[in-house]
Amino acid sequence: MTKIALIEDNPDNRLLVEAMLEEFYQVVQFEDGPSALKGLPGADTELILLDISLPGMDGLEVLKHLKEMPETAHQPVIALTAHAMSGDRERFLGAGFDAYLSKPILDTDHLTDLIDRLLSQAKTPTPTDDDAEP
Amino acid sequence: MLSSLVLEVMIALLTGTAVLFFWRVGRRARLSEDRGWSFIFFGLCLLFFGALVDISDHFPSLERFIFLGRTPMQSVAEKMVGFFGGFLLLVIGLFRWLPHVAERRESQENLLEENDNLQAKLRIGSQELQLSKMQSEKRVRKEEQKARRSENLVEAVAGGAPVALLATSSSGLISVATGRALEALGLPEDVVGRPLVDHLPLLAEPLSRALEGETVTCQFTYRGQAFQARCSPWYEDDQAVGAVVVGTDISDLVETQNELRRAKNVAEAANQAKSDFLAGMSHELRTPLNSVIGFANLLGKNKAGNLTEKDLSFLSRISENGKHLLGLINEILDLSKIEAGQMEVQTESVDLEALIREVAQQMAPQAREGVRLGVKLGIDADSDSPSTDQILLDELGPTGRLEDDGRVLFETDRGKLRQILVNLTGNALKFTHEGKVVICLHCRTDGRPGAISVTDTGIGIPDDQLDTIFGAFQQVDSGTARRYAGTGLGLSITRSLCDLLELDLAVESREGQGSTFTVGLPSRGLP
Repeated sequence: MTKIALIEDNPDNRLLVEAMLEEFYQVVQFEDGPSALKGLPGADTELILLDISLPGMDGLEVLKHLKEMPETAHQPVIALTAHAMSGDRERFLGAGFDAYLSKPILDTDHLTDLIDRLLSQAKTPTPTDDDAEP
Repeated sequence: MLSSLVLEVMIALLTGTAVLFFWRVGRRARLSEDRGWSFIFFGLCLLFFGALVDISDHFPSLERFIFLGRTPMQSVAEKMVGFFGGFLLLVIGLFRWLPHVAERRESQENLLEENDNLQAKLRIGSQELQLSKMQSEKRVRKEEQKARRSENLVEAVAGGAPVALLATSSSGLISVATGRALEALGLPEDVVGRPLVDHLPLLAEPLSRALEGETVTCQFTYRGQAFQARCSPWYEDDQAVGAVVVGTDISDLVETQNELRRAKNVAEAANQAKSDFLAGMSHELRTPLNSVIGFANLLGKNKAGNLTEKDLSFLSRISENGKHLLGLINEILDLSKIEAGQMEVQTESVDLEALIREVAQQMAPQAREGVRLGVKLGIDADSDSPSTDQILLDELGPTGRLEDDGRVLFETDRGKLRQILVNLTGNALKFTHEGKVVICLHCRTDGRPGAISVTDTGIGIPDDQLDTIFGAFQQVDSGTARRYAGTGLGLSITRSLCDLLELDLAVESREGQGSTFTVGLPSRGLP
């Protein structure tokens, strides 16, 4: 089963995302940036779901490190965040996220569709539109 | 005997003197008048000797002085010659002398006349002189007055305002120093005649530039006070003679500027804090909703298959109310952002026809059964809402086209105008149970857009509540609030958005017959 990383500090949210995705993917969970950066190189994941508001190191900084590490640099990263004011989406996509999805997640299918699309894009590396609608 | 001897000697002396006189005068006389006198004198001598005096009778002793062997003028003939000769000489002398007397009188008169003339001229001249003196004095007084006045003006300006007026020679020596700010600039009263840069070294560079013909303005601080100095060249009769320096104490101005800057910073900080607060609120409210909606949805899938219909309907209510709460949060935050002035307006040229078609297409699924949604584009001069009966649904009527390519353009923020129309159309569809909802673009007679209206045949709004519907959390009454979903913020946001875009928003309604909301498009937004 395809492994997906989830970096999220809120245990309820971790539980929810796991419950939403467990049917299709194996979800590897980290509760903050440093533990994720430490654990991800050996975790063999293919895609990363990253929260923005994390304690200590925020999602934007974690993303920077992920893009610098050879093990994770090629993996698509989805911003999964409750930052949903106008302009936030553009801000995060501009920072280098491959997709943006705002919380609350209203539709499970939307999340799984997005993940599948990004995974297939990553496997056949052709320049495509990363701009997924939330 | 003795007396006759004395007389004889006297006569001899007199005669000698006369001869000598006649000889000398006659020789030296340059004027005929003097010669006249000589003739007269000699004539009188001859008369005395010859005709009037019988010398030998009275002076017998003369007989001792023998002239030519006898006493002179003894014979009658000699006496006759002497008498007539003397008389003749006298007459000649008189004739010579008299014209000169007349001439002298005449010349004397001429002189007098000349004198009078001269005096008159002198008088006139002196009068003229007096007059011109008076005039020139008057002129001088006037000039002095003018100079004094301008000096007073300079004093008044320099004394009243916090300025220092300084003038320097071309070598930079102070020639004029006045003004209230002199003291603040540390310039003593006897500064005139000293080099300006000795007292204000900061002005060395601007001053030298001013002396080269440039006008320089600079700011500097002296003893904690802020000054502005304007150094400019000083011309007299087109001749550069030095520089003028106007120093102004701008401490108050600078202080005011600093206060304004502080106030601006405080306001910006407050605005930033508000913005941060809104963003934080949004984030914090969304996070728990994620769990509420997410878990309710997950459970609603009933994967274990052990939930009853009732259980599922409860879960559905949790989920729906969660979404409603999310909508409320979004709208409240939108409203707060608009009211906090944090909504940015991005103006572009909007194709209005395309926009209303897009809105209609998006909103069509929300229409109740039996309700039609359409768009219309029409010309009407006063932009009144058209009677709904005349509307051809899903068809465009005759149009006033502005652009060559047929587009009707308006400069505004497309996204926000779209949100306004979505809100109005959503409302119209929500409150309309049968009939139609029409989005209409009204064009002016010249083809330019005038307004966009959304007209429905819904429940309408009672007259007494027309004023309150734009307030937050307002629906017509609690009864309708139960019947119709929604946050009650839609119209409030719509009005705020219209204000933001400087568009007019008006409503017309008849209870039970329908409503028309009109967004006026002012002509300044036209391309």
